[in-house]
Amino acid sequence: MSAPALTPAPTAGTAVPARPHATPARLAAAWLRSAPGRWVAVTLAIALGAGFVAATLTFSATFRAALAAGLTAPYRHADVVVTPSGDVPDGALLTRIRQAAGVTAAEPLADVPVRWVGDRAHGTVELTALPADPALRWTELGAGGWPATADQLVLSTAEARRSGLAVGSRLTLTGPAVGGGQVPATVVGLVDVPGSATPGADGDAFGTPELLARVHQGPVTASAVLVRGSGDPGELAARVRDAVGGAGTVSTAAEESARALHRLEDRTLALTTVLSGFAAVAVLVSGMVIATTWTILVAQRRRQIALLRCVGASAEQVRRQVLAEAAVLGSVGALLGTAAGAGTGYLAAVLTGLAGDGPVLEPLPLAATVAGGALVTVAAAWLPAAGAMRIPPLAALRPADTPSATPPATRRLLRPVVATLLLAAGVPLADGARGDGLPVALAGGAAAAVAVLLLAPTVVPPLLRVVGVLCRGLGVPGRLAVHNLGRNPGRSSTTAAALMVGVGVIVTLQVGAATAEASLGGALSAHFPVDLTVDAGGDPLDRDRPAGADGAPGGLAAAVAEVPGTADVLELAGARGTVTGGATVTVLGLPADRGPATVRPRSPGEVVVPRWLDGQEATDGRRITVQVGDRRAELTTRVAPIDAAGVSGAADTVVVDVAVLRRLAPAALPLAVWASVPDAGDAEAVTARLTELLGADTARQLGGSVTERAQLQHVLGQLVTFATALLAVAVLIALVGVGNTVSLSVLERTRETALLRALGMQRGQVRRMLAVEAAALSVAGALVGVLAGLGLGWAGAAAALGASQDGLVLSVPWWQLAAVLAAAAAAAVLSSVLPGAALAE
Amino acid sequence: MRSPTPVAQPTGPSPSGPSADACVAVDVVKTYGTGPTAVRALDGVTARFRRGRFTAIMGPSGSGKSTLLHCLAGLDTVTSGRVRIGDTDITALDDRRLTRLRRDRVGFVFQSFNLLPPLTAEQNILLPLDLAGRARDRAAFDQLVDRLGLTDRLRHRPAELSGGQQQRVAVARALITRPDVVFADEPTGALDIRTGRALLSHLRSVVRETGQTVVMVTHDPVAASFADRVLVLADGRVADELDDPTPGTVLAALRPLDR
Ligand SMILES: Nc1ncnc2c1ncn2[C@@H]1O[C@H](COP(=O)(O)OP(=O)(O)O)[C@@H](O)[C@H]1O
Ligand SMILES: [Mg+2]
Repeated sequence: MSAPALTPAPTAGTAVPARPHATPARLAAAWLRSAPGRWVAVTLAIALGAGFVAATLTFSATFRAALAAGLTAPYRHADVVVTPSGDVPDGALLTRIRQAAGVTAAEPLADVPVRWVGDRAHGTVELTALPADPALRWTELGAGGWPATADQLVLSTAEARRSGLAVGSRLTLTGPAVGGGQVPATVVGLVDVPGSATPGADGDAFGTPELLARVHQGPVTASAVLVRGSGDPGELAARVRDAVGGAGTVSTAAEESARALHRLEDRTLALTTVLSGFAAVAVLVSGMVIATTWTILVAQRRRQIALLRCVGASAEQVRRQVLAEAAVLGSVGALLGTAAGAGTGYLAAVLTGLAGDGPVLEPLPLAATVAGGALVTVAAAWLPAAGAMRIPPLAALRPADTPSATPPATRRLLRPVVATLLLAAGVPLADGARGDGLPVALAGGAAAAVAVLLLAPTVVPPLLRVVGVLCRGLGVPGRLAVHNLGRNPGRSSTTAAALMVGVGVIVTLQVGAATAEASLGGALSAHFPVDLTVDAGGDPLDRDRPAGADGAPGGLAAAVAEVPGTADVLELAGARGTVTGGATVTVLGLPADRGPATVRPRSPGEVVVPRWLDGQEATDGRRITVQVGDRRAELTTRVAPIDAAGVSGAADTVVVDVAVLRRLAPAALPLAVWASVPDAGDAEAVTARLTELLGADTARQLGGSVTERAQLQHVLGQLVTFATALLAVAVLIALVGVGNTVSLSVLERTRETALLRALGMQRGQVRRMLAVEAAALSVAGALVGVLAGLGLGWAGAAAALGASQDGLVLSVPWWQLAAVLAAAAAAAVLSSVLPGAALAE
Repeated sequence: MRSPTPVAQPTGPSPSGPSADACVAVDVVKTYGTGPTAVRALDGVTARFRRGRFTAIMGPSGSGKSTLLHCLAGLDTVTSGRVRIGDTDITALDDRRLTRLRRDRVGFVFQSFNLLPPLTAEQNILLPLDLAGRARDRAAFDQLVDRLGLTDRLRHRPAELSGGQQQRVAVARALITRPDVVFADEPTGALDIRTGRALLSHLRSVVRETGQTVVMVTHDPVAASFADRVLVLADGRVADELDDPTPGTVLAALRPLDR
């Protein structure tokens, strides 16, 4: 028989050779183009994962650069840096350096922490000596002029903006020395300091060395000497080294900068580690979601893939085709995510005030993120691709049902066994690691987390049944929903597990932070017993009126009690006295049942003394004599951090029972007012109001630790908020997965639902069925996540706080947990809206 | 009426050289499931399909027509018995060789869902060649699509084609590799009568001109009359066989099976 048209012999010139490997890629491309909407969810999951990593990278690179700029700024115009060994006075050292050949300028680098009080605000700054030689100044004047006298200073623009100060503001400065004097100073200029300060850290101020000496009540020892000179810095350093001898170590400015950066790496290691941990969580969650979504994407095209096999595609070609899709989508998603993430990371740095001098984009890590995103996607698609290989050609002739494969018994058993082993190893490790520090605890926690993850297929189905019992009340749609979830337990578990990881980590963080905060609060109140104190340096606050024996507020104390935010206002009577050995002390009387327990005498026979009394270390249980005038009392000592709440002035403060004080000094006048500020958030407002209240009377001083507590809580709160926001991304990715799983069950049940609809099920009921399905899935996943997070968060806080474990207070942020659960359920219901609409059709 | 005795004789190992049969089935048994619920879809079918012939398979619903086709085409495995395509015993092939056989030596046309939705008609037709990495013979391709009246439909996707056009694209795809046999399972089943007849005459003319072997399952006596020969199945066995069928002779052959 002749077959002219179809003889296989190709006519020369018209044969177009086809590349065998091009087909899977081309098919992948055709599939990607044909229904773009189908790929949105998985691209989103990829982009979110990669974006998280890119944001983390950019954020930390930007803020590290900002910190580095700040740290190395002082060496900017120096050639050589000398670090004094302390054997030779600064003056003599400076003289030696300045006499070395080639040295054109040498200036001491010294700073001192200073508390400032303005008209309407107060705060702390790092007051640095301004180099007398302008050549060595590393800051640029932005407004006003340089300080010339000991009552002038310049502030960093950032600090001025933060505190509402300007050129011309008048401040009162107090140094760190106990009972240090108060120094008035005027802001005469604003300077731009390179880099930017860490939030919560002190701002920058510059003044003449004389101002520092005044505030410090003595010359401030230089931490370094900046040297400028001619010629090669290395040779200059050698000459300076000869001149300095053993009085200091000499290095070039470049070496000193490098050393500072090295220390910075150590300091930022913890943050980098934490951020990397979050990034790992995000990548893990997106990997899980990508894998489940890809299973869905394969299932949706089950018949098409089978047809492909009928037509002669090998199983290997099917795999290559699925992996080609993954590679393309992985690259596109990772590229989009990385670009958006880099922007977000910089934005985060700007919002947290850590942006410094602009975004720092590290090309190599960012490129690696894109590549990594594509790789993770391909890896996540590996198992679904293997599943696609197993689709038999005949599936092309059957409706689009997916058989639920039961894994072999060995694999079903393996998981719980491995999980139990991991739990057995991980939990004691995480719990017992308090002494050994964070890394061991992290390893234990990670093991426990993986165990929980492995247990998901075992735990989730029964849990779904439990949740299902609750859904019975929702009628037929509820019952059907639960039945549907039970049909493919493997997929339900994987989806719930993705959510479990996200929620689990958020809860870990919240519980960890709440526990840390509660425990730190305990530690803090032990070190800073009184939130607010007002005194007049040992003089009576109110000369006209003897203090009431009960500590009831009157006069100033009454006014303090009026200030919104204050509580437990106490007026303390006191008197000047002496203790055994002759040291002068201020004796305060505290009512037996009032005031912070830390500094309260537990019996009338006890006197609370500071750790250092009269220059000597005090001990508990010693009998000492407290004498006021010619009356004396024999009392037993108890050491407490009373100095942090003590009356300002040169004398130490001791606390006795108010009855004892009455015996010693019947006419004792009020010397101090104590108050607590229950909500540290009010600290700012309360101190501002009190500063105003005390007015121009500089004799009366405001003290207490509320500002420190507020700052600490603020920083902690900011960190937690930031981290929660980051991890919310992981939950978002997981919810994309929930939506996908529901979509798939929609797809599998198109016929069945048509039947249900024909049987009279209403659209609303179909939608309700899907909503219940999604909500049950989410609640089950979130519930396990919450439980795991509770344990891990507590263990984590225990490990991180290490030494202070005595004061460990397990704190559970109940309403936050409830919010997480509710959000998971609500978002799940939302995620079922689109598939629900499709199915109801 | 003809006697229901099997006409095709079992063939032994083929003599040297290409046999005159494009496809041979010997004692093919196919059971689904096990135990008391097992279904014996094919109960010892023996049949041979000569090269260049157009055979129709008929029989009541559930008689095993589709199952036989799937077993002959290597889409499904037989429980026992042998199937040969050309000189190859396909019951002994592994998945890789079976895949290659489907790609290079067998063509299919199903009742529906023959085409990949994202690919154009042209891409669908060329898919087996592309999967094989084989060169495309432009002239042959052009002539084939011209014969099937698809020349101006090549850039369309399946969704943009009528049912008849989709089936013609499927026929072109089945023929493009010049396979040993083309199997068609109720190719006109989803079409209206006119379009179905048009498809069948296309199929028959292409087959005649190119000397293709075709095995087609159909319900329609008129469709069967397009074939050179009709094989009638009942309860998984060959019940009858007629040459040069007309709608009348086909109906007569089927009548005793209507219970
Ligand atoms: N995948 C299968 N599983 C179980 N039984 C099947 C399967 N496919 C077909 N059958 C049964 O085998 C018999 C023959 O089916 P089939 O070949 O489709 O018949 P026909 O195509 O002639 O209508 C029927 O009884 C049918 O129920
Ligand atoms: Mg059939």
